[in-house]
Amino acid sequence: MFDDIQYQYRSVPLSGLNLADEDNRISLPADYARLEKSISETGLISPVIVCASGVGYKVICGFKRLDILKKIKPGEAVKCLVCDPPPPARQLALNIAENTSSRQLDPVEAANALSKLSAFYERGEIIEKFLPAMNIQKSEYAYNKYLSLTALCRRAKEFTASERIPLAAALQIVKFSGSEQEKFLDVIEACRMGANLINETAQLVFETSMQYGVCAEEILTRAGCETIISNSDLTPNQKTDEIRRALHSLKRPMYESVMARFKELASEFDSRKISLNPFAYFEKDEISVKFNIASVKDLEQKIAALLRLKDSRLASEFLKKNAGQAEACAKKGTRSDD
Amino acid sequence: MIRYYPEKIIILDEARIRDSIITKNILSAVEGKNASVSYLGEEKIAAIIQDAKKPENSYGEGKKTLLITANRGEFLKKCPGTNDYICCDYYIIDFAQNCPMECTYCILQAYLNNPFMVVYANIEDLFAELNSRLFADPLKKYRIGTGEFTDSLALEHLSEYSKILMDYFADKPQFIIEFKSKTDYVKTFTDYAGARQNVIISYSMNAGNVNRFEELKTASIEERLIAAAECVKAGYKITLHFDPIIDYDDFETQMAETVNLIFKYLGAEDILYISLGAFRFIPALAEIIALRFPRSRIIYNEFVKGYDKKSRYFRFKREKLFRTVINLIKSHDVKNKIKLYFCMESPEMWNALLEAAPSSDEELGGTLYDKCRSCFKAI
Repeated sequence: MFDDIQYQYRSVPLSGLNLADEDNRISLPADYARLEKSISETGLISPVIVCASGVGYKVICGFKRLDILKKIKPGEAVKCLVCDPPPPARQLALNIAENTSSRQLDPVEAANALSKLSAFYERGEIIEKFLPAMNIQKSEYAYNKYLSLTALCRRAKEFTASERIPLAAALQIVKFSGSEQEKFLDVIEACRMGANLINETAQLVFETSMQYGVCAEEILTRAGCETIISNSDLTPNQKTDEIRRALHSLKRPMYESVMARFKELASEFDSRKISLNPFAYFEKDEISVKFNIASVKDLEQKIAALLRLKDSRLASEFLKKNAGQAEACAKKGTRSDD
Repeated sequence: MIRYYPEKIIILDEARIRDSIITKNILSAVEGKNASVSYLGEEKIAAIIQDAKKPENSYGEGKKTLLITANRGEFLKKCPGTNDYICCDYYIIDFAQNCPMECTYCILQAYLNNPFMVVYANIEDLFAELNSRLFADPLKKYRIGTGEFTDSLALEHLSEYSKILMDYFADKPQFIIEFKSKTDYVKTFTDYAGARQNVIISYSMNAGNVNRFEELKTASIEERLIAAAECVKAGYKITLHFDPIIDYDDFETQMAETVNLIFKYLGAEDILYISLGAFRFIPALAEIIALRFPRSRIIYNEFVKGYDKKSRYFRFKREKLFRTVINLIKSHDVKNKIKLYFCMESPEMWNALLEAAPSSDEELGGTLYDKCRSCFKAI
């Protein structure tokens, strides 16, 4: 595809490269520690590709390498492959091909590439030609998914490119406004959340905001995130627990309130003697009772607790429809206590 | 409401399909509508289906093609239930698949593996199967519907399938046939000259705003009820289905408006029964809804995993929603003429809100059947 391009090998001073022209850039200017270490130790192995442009050279491939050289060896000449200027669409395609030939683009690079390609190519052509080259599933869904990441704020892009935020979470938080994204990032940083927790929290915030029809910021506020993360008495793990608890309470308020009531009534019993739990999600009018017996005296205590349970508020509230069940069971010809 | 006309018709190139009355009805109905018609073999059709499935917009685009083909499997199917929830022992005639309407919550989006509108034209096979299976158990109280894998009436103006089924069931009054729809199509019923003592016309009901924002390309609730009233006038009985009941903005007011409309157009004596089912979905459907209808908020709520692995509202939320609808209906139907039942609910829900839970699916099915038979006798 690019066989016809003729290159000349030259050393060009950094000042001769037009670094401000980022037409072909798809990577984020950022710290690339591994690449920096490699270049500082072994020098530039792969030359950058440039083309003549006015009095200097326009960069086609090698923006990251140039960022690093500018930082660590600003006075040195750069090894370049110089070509005649290809049309802009080919320059961009060449850069993408050069990058994808040796590695997988990070999600932000993929998003930038798709966004820039859309200036030159129809969506269908990008999906057919470029997505497979980027090792992305050839579909409109994948195209839209990656392209949406261009709406991430700068910091979220950096987090995503460096894999600090997993792609799934990035795809959730990109639905938030820029300032909401910043607030969300403050939360995950303060809690030092790992990938799974970031995913879960991003999804919870998004889903809860949809549930209430309010913005993500409102959900973070209702969950008290700012207060929690600024509480210096809490460890990052405790902050995470508090935030998760608050978000889950918002997500399922009815369940939380019924569960709170259950716990309140169950607390009338010593949980060391008998442990009381509702049926999963209270779907059935049943209470699970668990206890161990170590002695006859122990057994007597458990029996006493069970007798108390029979007349308790817990039983009257959470077993209240058992009469109906008993009738249904009788109809079936089975005993209600089968 | 705008009636569906396909842009493209693909017909399985077999004599029994080419010559079927269904195919002839459809081709005659689309005359002058600019639909391209092609006759293709099975392999070619399979390849086209495979190809059409690929793009993400296949859900909407695929419906522009109507495939007239043969059902190689069973026509008569039992409505699938789950052991832990009470089902109504309903049977389905699988005569067509997919629906031109666009309800955001529709399970067909996740269920069907073919994006086209499909009609099965091998009706001789259908009748042969019905003849052999329906009479096998003379005591079985069959209530049979056609609105499970499609809307019963969405293609009726093209195929007249319902009319053909009514003809088949006309001399078999022991079987009850129900046509369930979100359309306002009534011509088949109002024009019908034969017996109608075992025919139920059924309409899906919902809160007005759910109808406006989540049931796209369907008839409005009022249009459906006007259609229902016409059917009543023509001598039919009606059933209504509040399914899925969705926890939506302004639920009580919007639902009250719908129930008021029901009783504006229908009397309690016109309605045999009303079913109530709360919104539930499999994970695959949630993904499709989020993708196809990103503005819809119906999948974001207080859901829990049910016994059937579907997401459903937390029990007490369901109870609250059901109680609202039941009270609204009962405020109009003070003499309890209308039988109310739950679709796929737990015994606990029955015991809390209706009479004691049926002991089996057959018991509920039998009760509904008996209710129909007693009302038909009274006609």
